[in-house]
Amino acid sequence: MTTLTRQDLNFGQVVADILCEFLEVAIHLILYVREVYPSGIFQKRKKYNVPVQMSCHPELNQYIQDTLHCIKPLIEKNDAEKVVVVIMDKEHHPVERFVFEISQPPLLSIRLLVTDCCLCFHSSDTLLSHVEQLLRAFILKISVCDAVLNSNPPGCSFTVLVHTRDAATRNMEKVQVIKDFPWIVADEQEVHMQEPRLIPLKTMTSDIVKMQLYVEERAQKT
Amino acid sequence: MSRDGWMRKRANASDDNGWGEKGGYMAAKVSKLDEQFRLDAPREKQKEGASSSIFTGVAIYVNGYTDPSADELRRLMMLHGGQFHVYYSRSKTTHIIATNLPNSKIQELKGEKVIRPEWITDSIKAGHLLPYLQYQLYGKHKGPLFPGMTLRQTSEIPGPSHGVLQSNAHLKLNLPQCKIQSSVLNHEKSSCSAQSIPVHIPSQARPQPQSIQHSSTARFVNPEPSHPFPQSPPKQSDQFLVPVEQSSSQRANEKRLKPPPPTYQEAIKATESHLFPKQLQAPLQVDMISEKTLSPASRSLSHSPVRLNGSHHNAFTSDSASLSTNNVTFKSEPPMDESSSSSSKSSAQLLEHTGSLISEFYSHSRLHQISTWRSGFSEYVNELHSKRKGAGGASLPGKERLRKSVAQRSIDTKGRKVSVKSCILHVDMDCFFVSVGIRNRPDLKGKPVAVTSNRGQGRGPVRPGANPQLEMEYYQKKYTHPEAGEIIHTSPSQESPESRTNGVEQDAVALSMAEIASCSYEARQAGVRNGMFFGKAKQLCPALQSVPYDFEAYKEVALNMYETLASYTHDIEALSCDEVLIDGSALLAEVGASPEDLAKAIRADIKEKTGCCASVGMGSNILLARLATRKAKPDGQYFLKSEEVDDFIRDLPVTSLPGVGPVMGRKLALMGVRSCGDLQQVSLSQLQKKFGPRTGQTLFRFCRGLDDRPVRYEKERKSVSAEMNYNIRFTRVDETECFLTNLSMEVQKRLQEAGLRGRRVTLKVMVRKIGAPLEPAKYGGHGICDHLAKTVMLAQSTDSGQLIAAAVIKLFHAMKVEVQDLRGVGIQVQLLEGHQSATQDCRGLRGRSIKEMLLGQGSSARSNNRDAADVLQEKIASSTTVPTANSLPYPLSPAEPVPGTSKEQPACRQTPKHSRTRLNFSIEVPSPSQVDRSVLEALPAELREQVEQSWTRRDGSSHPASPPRPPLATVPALNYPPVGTLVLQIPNQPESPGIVLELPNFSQVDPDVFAALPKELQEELKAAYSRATGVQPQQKNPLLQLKQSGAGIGNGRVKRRYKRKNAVSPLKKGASPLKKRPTTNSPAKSLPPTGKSREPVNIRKASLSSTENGPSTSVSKPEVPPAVVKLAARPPPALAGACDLTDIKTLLREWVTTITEPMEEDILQVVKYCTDLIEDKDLEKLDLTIKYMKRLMQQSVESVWSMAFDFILDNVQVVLQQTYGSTLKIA
Repeated sequence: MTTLTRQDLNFGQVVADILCEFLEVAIHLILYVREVYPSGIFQKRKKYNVPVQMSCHPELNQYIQDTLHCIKPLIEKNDAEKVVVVIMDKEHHPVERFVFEISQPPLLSIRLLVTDCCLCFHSSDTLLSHVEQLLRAFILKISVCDAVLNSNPPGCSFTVLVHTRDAATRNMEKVQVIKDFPWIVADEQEVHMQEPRLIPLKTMTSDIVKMQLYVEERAQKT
Repeated sequence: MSRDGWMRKRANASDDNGWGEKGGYMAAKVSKLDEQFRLDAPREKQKEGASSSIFTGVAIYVNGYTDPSADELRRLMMLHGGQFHVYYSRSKTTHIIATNLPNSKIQELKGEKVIRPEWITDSIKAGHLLPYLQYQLYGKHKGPLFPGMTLRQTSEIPGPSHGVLQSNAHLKLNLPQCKIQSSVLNHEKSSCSAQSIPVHIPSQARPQPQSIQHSSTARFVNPEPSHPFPQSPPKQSDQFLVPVEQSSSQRANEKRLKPPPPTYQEAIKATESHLFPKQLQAPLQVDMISEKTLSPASRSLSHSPVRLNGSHHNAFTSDSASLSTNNVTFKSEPPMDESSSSSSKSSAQLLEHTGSLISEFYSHSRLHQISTWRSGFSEYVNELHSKRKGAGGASLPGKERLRKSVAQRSIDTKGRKVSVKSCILHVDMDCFFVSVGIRNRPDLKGKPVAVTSNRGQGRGPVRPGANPQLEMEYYQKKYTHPEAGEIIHTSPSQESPESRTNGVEQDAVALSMAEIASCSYEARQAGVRNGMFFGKAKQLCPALQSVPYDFEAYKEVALNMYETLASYTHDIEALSCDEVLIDGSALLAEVGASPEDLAKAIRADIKEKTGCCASVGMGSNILLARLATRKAKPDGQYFLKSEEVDDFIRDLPVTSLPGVGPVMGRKLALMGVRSCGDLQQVSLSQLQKKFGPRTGQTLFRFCRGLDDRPVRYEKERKSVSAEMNYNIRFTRVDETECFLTNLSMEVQKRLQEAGLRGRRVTLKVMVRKIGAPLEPAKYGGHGICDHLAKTVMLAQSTDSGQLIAAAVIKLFHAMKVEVQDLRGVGIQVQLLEGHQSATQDCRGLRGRSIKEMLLGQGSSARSNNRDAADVLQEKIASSTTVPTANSLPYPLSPAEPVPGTSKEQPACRQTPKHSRTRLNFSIEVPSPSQVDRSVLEALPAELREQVEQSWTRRDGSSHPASPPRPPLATVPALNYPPVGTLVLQIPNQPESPGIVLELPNFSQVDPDVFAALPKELQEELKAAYSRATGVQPQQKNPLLQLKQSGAGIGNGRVKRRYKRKNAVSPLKKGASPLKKRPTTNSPAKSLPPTGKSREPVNIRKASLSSTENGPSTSVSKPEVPPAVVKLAARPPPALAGACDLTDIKTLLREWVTTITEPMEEDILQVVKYCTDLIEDKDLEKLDLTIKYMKRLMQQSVESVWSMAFDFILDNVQVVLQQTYGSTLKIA
């Protein structure tokens, strides 16, 4: 019986939970590191056993939370290819893009994994902590990424884009996860960046998810 | 339960108000039964007339057949205020009553209190609730409670300690009854007069016909409440004296012959010489000795780290459960002999061997046992507390008596008002082991006595290799000049002990090295000290008598003492088996007694009940109480009043302060601080600067007699550890690893017993000091050592031995110590946190989030796989590191194993991440000829099928005209996946279109090596040679321009590995990069390495080194868990078989540094790899690779390399542009 429930569990859900949790932390940290918002609104917190900065501005937090709430079902279904945090200048031209490229291993292998695991009980938190380690590495990379990036012009804002696979967009338009929080197809202006330069930050490969983070930076920022 | 009872109850349950509303049938039934029990109870009490509330708060559940029967027990519980559960409830039932249980139930009830029914009957007899400790059915399962005791009886120990242990085993058989006797006896005594002791024993032991059918313990069952025990008159029991079993009557006699306390005179003398017996001892003695110019031997003897009597016995770990087992003297076979005789032992055997070593060590280590007692007693005190909470104030007979006597006195001396704000009592038994040991031997009273395992004349045989003198001199030097102790100077005379002719020294060599655990005050007078070697002590005091260890008695006496103290107050902190702190403030305030009264009463009580003397020190805080005890000893009491504190403490040497050991004492002495008075002159900031903020603060306060530590009834554990520094002699790395694994399992056991998980793992290692003799003076001891420690933080708290072992082995390799020089190993786990329930963990994942559960699942399998892989690695390592060619543990073992694969090993074991990725590789199948048939047949069916399939597939896919595959074709190691699919094609040679392997010139093949090859291999080689003749010289890959610098021939080992890397370096490739795409992802045979070179020597080396790798792969194949094969996902991109970043870097470095002009194909290969990385979405690695190449190539003197890099970068950027729409930023 227990075996059954375990198999029937939506693995994607678990992955989505983990990733959204991570993305929330990451977005806050990016906003802090890239100085999109004044550092006064950020508070130091601890996540994955490392210090992170988290905004305490309620509206901003709400926005991030809502966004992620909508992204979660996409990740669950493995429909989200990239989650992009775009930092835009005053003219709403992107200057930086933090791209989280997510790919999940085919479901089959996970199933196998799960069934294989049913018999073993001890050291149960290992995988989780392994993932935690990897995510921690991401966080650390983000917190030092200003070393490899040029500073942004003043007056930046940010937005979150999702690159979906297949026709998930249509579904998104139809089904609003949160009322009055619709997703719209991004403007070409918001997506396109002149002379982008790519700075890979981190890649993780774990059993449940594969993710890499890179930054695309506009060559001429000002 | 009786049958009709069941019927009745069921009927009640069903016809009463529909049980559906009450939360199901069972719930309704249980509540009904409880109600019934409640209703029946008064009736029963009325009927019986006598009732009590002994068992308030106790709820029992009877499991299986018991005597008295369950019904009888139920009645008893009714009578005495307890609860009886017909159905066991984990939450409500407090005790399980059983006389014997099947194994399955034992497992199920692990951790529960399973108690023999005698507990109930005896408690009723005694008139109050007895501690259940001694009535536990399976003491072992209770965890920390005296775990060693049950182990002991099963094992026979060779060597001199044999006798002791045997007698213990014998005692064990008698134990239950003795204990019951004595415990009952004590309560007895507290209410009766002392002279009736011998009288009561027989009456208790009176045989009851109906109970004899059971075990010997059943004899004490006395279900008739009409025989209230205390009233049994002396005359009656005299009659019974005859039929009583002899052993118990003997015991009774012995009890009567209790030794009188030491005479006062003696005691005073002993005090003078031994005022501060514990910490002072070592330094004091050094001073003394150097003054008196005794033989140097005594100096080393004076420094034994052991402090047997008391909590100080763990000098360097605050927790007594982490044992210091330095001075264990049991003998067992030294592992060295065994392992050297069978060096090719399989690791399974090894594991077993080292495992048994550990379990043997711990089951025999006496100190280990004693140190575990403390937690047992702590638990006992906790138990008392919880009971009191439950019962709302238990009876404290001692307190009552004290109250009475005080009341008595206050009538006599009116108006004497005692006002004590707070008073801590420190109760310490006087030379505990000795006084227990001679309790029953009045002949030894007043004589110098030492407790030790050595019974002879204090001599032992001189062992070769040992150099006791050197060790002694080392220690001596260390104490006189602390800084100079770092280097061992071996003078010529020391190097050859046999050349010494000095008879005295020779004597010292042969002296017994058995430590003295405790010695009497008479012996101390003669200069004997605790922890001294027996041989030395015998020299100092020829009349010294040795008394064997008697653990049962220690336990018994200690329990008695605790019980006695618990009858006064429950504010007790157990420091060790013979040392207790009592917070007497509340008690004294309540009773109105003075501390002296209390101490007197306690001492008298202890003396009466245990026959041993205790000293009591009193003070307003713990520190002062302890210091006062020093003054009180032996057999005295001392109240350090607050007005005296200043004078008292000023003259104390600093080392008498707790926490100031010899090391800190020396440090302080260097500062010119010897007494606490001196210390008072030092400012706080100075102390903190020197010793750290906390220690400094403590010192500052202590030397002023300030101490704000409260008496803690429950001590939090700070660390859990297992250490072993006796008999540690390893010869090989894998042995050590196995040992570490086993030791980790021991730690796991302890963690689980304590219900804790820890995060910080420390590996402590004792390594033979350079220059120290190979064999220490003490047999199996550790000798002079350097102490190393390394710590790692785990990702999360764990109690898994596997995880700890993995971490520890990693640490061990990082330490880079010679395994032969290992003398002691310890694993310590810190940063503990309790986990809510161990049962939840092992039985699944109740109460956890689904996410965790699921993830946990994944992880455990992973880790299992990883373990398998690690084992595998170890096997490979062991097969390759055996330096002798004639030991071939595996059928396919190579003729010349790769020596010094040390670099690879840590790489394999680096982090879970690495092993993880490694596991995703599909496994290579060696060619059929290389596979041991028997191994193949031993495989699970589906695995075998897979292997065979891959053969057929390979055969089918390979070119029809291709010659039989040469046997040398393998991939270096598991780390190199077959992914690169470097199908080697040599376009210029139509006659060999398939795979061609470079063979060394036949003349260059080492005949020895050839002969050592397995037969099949030899044949294949021969065939290959016959084919290759004529072709070989021209067989030069035109695409490869590996220019070997001439350095290659000289340094063998390093070079060889180097060569192997070259063999798989980017220099071998197909005609065009396009052809390199894998045609299939099947576990195809990877490419044979072709180390092409114009230098035949190098060729030979390359191909030989590839031979060396052969067995690893073929051997490893069968070991691969099926799951891994199934999971073989998309292989990660690889450059010439390497996919780990470090390997890639190595390859690139070799490529760039060894070749002046890169070939276009090589460059294309790199580009291919980079684009693969892009495809694989591993930009991070791409970035790192590119950056590395940039550094390498732009630094190169040749401008071609710069150009090559630009070319590569351009290509990569194009691909990136296509994929991501942006280009890499190259800083």
